[in-house]
Amino acid sequence: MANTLEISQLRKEYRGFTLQDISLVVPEGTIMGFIGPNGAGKTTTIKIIMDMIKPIAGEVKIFGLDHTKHIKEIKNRVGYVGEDQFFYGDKTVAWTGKFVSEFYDNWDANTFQSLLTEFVISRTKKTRELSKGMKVKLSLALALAHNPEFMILDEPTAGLDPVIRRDILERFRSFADDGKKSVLISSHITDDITRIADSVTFLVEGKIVLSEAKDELLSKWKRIHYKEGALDETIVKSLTSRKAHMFAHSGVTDNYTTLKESLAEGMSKEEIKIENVNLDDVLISLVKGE
Amino acid sequence: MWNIIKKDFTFFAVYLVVVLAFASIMAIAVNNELKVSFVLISGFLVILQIVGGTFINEQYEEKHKGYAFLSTLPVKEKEIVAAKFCLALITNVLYVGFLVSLFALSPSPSEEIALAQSYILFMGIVSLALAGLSYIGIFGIGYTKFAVIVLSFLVALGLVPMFLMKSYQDRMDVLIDQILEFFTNLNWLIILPAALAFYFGLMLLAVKIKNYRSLVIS
Repeated sequence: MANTLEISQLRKEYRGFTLQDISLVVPEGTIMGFIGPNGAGKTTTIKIIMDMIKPIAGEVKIFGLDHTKHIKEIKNRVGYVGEDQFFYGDKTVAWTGKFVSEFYDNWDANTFQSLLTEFVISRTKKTRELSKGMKVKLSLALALAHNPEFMILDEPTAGLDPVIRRDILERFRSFADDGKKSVLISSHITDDITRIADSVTFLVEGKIVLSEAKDELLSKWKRIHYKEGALDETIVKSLTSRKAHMFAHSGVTDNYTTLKESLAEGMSKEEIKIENVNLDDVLISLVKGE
Repeated sequence: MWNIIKKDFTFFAVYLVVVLAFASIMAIAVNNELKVSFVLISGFLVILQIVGGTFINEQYEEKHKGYAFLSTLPVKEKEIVAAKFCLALITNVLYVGFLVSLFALSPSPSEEIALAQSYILFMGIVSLALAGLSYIGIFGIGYTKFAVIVLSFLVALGLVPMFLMKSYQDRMDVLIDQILEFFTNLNWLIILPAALAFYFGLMLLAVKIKNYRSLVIS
C-alpha cells in the first residue's frame, strides 16, 4: 500500500514552543486521527503540510511528491478544511465558488452546486452572513468540488452543534470508503476520531507520543480496577492515571494484551476488573502520566 | 494569477474611473489648454491612485484574512506577490497612458506638452516605486504597523513644501527653472527600462520577504 502522506523529522520553533522532529505516515485509503490538547502543535503541523508556514527542518511528501517543490500540484489534489474559515466576507457564496474554481484543474461545478444544495447553502448569501456551521459546510463543498484524493482537516468540527458535526463526520467517512482516498483529521474532540479514524496519532507538547491503529490501541489500553494486594507491584507501578479508593484502586495500562494472562487469576476471583477506555482516557494518561 | 488580478482590479478600477473622469472634465473645462495646476494635480493623482489603491487593497486583504484564504488554494506565494505587482503596473500604464494621450491632444505648444508628459511619466515611476516599497513594507511588518508608519511619514512629508519655500524664499523662479530643466532633460529611453528593472527587483525582494516572514514569524 502506498503512502499518501509521509512526514519526516519536521521541526518548527516558536518562542515557548517547539514542534519536535515529527514523523508520520498516512497510508492510502485510511483515515488518521491527529489528537492532542490545545497548543500541542496539531495546527502547526497541518499548516506546514499545506505549506502555509515553513518548517526549519524536515521533509513532507504528499503522493510521493516533495511539498516544497510541487505544492501547486499537491494542493490541486488535496482538499483542506481549516479550523477557521476565511472568505472574502463581502462576496457571495456563488462568487467564492467561481473565484476558487479558477485555481483548480479538476473543478467540478456540478459537484459544487449539488453540495451547496445538499448543505442548504444559499448561493446569493454573502459569506459573512453564514453561521459557523454553514461556513464549515461551504469550506467542505469547496474542498470536495475539485475531487481531491486526500483531505486534510484541522479541527473541522470545533464549535459545531452535534447534528451538523455528525453530518460532516459521515461525509468524511464516506470520502475514504473507496479505499484509495485518505484523510488526516485533527481534533481535540476524541469522539469524532473514534467514530471515523482507522489510526490515531497523539501529539503532546510538540512531540508525537503515540501513533497506532485505533483498534489495536484500544485493545492494548485498558483500565484495571483492583483490590489492594491483588496486583503485582511492578504492574501497579506501570499504570498511569492511578486512583486510590477506599475499597479498590484503578489505573490505566497500555500493555493489556501482554498482561492479560497474568491478570486472569485475579479476574476469576473478581479481585481484578478490566474496563475499556476511550481515546480521551488515553490522551489524559499521555498528558498527565502518573 | 489572473484571477487575483481580476479580484483586486475592482479597487483600482473604481478610483481609475473617478480620476479619469476628473482628468477628462478638467481637460474640457480648460478648453484643452494645458494649465500648470491641472498637470500638477494630475501627477499627484497618479501617486494617490496607485499607492492609495495598493493600501485600500491590502486593507481589504487584512480585513478578510485574504492571504490566509489564498494560502489554502493551489497558488504559489510568488504568484500572489506577482499578481499584486502586475496590477499596480497595469493600472499605472492605463492611467499614465491616458494622461499622456490626453496631453498630446492639447493645442498647447509642443514643448509644454512634452514637459507635461515627462512630468506625468516621472510621477508614474515614482508611484510604481512607492507601491513596490509599500508591498515590501506590508509583507515585512504587516499592514497595520506599516500603515501607521506611512501615515506618520506623510505628516512629516507635508512639511517639505514649507521647507522648500522658506529655503528658496527669494529664488522661487530659480527653483521652478531647475525643476522645469530637470523634467525637460529626462532621458526616457534609459529611465523607463531602468525603472521597470528596479520595480521587478522590488517584486523579487517582496517575494523573498514574504517567504522569510512565513518561515520566521508564522
